[in-house]
Amino acid sequence: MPPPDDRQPLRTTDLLVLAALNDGPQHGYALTQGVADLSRGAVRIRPGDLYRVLYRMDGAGLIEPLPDDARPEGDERRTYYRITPLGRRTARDQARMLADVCAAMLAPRKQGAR
Amino acid sequence: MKVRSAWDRWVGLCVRAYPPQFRRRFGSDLAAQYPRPARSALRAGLRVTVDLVRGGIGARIDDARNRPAERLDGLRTDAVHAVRSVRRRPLFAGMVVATLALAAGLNAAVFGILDTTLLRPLPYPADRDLVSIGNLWTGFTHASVSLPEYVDYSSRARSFASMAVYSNASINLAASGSAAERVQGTRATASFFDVLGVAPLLGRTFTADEDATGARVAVLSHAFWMRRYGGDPGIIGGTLETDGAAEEIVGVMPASFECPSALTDVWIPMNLVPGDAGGRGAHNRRVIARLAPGVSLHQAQDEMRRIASQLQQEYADHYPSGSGWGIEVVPLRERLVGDLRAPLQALMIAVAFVLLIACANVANLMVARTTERSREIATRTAFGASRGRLVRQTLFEGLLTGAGGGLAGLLLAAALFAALQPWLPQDLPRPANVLSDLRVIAFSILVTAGAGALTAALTAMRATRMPAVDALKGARATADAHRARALLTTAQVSLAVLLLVCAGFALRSFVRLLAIDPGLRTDHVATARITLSGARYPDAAARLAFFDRTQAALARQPGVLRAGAVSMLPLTGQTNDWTFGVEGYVPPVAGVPTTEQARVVHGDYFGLMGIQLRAGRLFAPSDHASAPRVVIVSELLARKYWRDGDAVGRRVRLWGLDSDEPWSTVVGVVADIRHITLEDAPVPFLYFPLAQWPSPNMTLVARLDPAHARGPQVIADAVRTVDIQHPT
Repeated sequence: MPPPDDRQPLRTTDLLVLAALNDGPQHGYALTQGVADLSRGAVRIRPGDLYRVLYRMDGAGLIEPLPDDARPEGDERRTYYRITPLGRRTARDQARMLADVCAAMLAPRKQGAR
Repeated sequence: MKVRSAWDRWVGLCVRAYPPQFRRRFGSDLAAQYPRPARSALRAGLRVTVDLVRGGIGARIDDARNRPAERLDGLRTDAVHAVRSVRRRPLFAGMVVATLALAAGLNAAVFGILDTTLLRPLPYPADRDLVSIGNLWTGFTHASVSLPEYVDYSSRARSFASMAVYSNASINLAASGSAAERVQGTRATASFFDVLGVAPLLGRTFTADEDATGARVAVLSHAFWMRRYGGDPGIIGGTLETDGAAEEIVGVMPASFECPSALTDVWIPMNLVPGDAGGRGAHNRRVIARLAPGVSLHQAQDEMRRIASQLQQEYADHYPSGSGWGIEVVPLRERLVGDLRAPLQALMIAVAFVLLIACANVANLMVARTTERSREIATRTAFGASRGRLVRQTLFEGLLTGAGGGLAGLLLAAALFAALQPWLPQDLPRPANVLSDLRVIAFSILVTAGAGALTAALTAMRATRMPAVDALKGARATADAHRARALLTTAQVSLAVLLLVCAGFALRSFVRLLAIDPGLRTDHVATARITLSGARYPDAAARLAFFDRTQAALARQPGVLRAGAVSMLPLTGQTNDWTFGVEGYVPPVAGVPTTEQARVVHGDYFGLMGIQLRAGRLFAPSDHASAPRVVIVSELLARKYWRDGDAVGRRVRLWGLDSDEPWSTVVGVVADIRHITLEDAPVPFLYFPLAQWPSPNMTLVARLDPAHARGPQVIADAVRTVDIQHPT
């Protein structure tokens, strides 16, 4: 799969999933929870869609499944996913870009502007 | 090992909506997200299904979007492989193409006709609002309307935005410069063009004023304009020299405007003078109308029903209670294609069956082919070709042969369509060539490519399901294929039998039709319709003299055995009934006038048509205009009105017993003939001599000597010796 186009902004769900993985590897169910928490409940991903997103991002090299031996003790059955260095970089770039946008949106208006 | 519950199996099935690569990686994890719920498993199951199918389709779309190049590459390889495989076995491919071509050709031709007649809108704006209004009588539907009736309908009804009346008019063009020509005219009210909503190509149509004052203006059809004037745009304001008069050409209609029929050359005003609209009983006009905005057909029908009951009270003598009189409002399209609908649909079903049989045939060939190829398929499977890939390749082969069949079928369809043209009604607009109809082309390519691909894919799926080892050994394949072929053959035979039974029924009714003796001989008979112009032949004596001289000239022509004339040719579907009273006969329902079919005949009409004389005599020269009135009746009429059937010497009075007409004495009884159509049983008939009823509209008929080479041209030659300027 080709690497994601740098100029193409990530989709909201993709960014949220990357953000949820920022703190460490997670399994599918925890990811849906994490996305919901991060978005203050505004974005709820159904499992069917979550895995589609994971599949897409896995293909793009943004995330990867945790190797079997790296899974936490007592939870070997579930697959854990972690963010790849490319994923981290992409998410950061995106976040910075969004931060600029947000800053511009939230800054006090110039005089005369309506 | 843990037994999988039904829930788990269902979730597993739903997960299959995702692409295989996805499943290998996330399949079990995704399924684990949907544990069996404690309660309401049905609702949860439904949610899971929707969720997974949606996600699966999304994932597949993502896949396709991310790897278009790879996919296309695979497709190209498959296509190349399919072409090679088809070319390796040209005989097989040829058979498939020929089978499909035959079926596709039939289907495309019939669909083409169906499309142009039943599916396509009429070439008028908002054609769904167009209706045809006709009279209802016991035994007749949608009969013609008289002018006073039209005036009543149009002045009383509120359901219509506009209403128009029209009738056919034969127009003789004077022989100025070019040859004399008889053209088909339509006499119509100015509203005619408003109802249909078509603007003229050049100039204008008539105005309501011209309609009322009887102005001599004419609107030309596109075809006539091209034919007679070579499409000269300066023709507006020119004159159309008709016999004894000149009409100013005010407009030309576009080519698509063919109403009431494609044969119409000229439209002239109806000249509807209020208070002078002719008899209420003269039913010889057709009425069309456009529904007012927001008015449904049903509401219009209701209103016309109310108007009918008002009229029935006001004109009780015209619409006696036993006559079954009423007003009928039907969609114009229904009126145009009504009779064609059932046979066309039956034909479409029949050819669809032919297509099914062809598909079974092709599938059978394919099964034979896969058996032959099972080794190849197994080898390729062993080398790692996926099942989907193999099925796809076979699908390509099917598409290829199918499309080939479709193309060949189109050529066949074009030929068939041309051959079927004469059977289509003249008043329906249709393309001259089926290939000019994109929908037909799309239909036939789709049908054959689809049929080819479907049969190919089905057979390939069977073949690839077989374990490779068995296939390599050549085992089981045969048993499996045998079963499939037996099934296909059974399907094919049962379809064929069904079709044969239907064809048998159709053939039987056709043979029965052929076996019908119409009671007259139509072989070696030449005919020509004559409409004498009122200007050149103003009175009865002139008209009679013309027909007498023409008749004599015709009889003198070499190769003509007998000559005569009739007001309406038999077996043309035309009817014309006259009202009369029979001396000493009391009608079963008081007040209902007795009407029967009547024709005016001249010369040796009975003899040349082979209509047998049963009693009395035929018309003689002594039955001239000033002699006592005479009539000849058919056997059915004689038996219907005189209990002993002995009609000779009895008397009838035209237009009713209390009319001013003198009595007509029956001088002869002739055999019954099928006068209207071959299917319609003989009906009672009256025949009147032209000498006493000098009609300007007659059809000249001549029995030709088959040994003599000259054809129908003899009639034109004969007419020319009498009146060089008269068109035939």
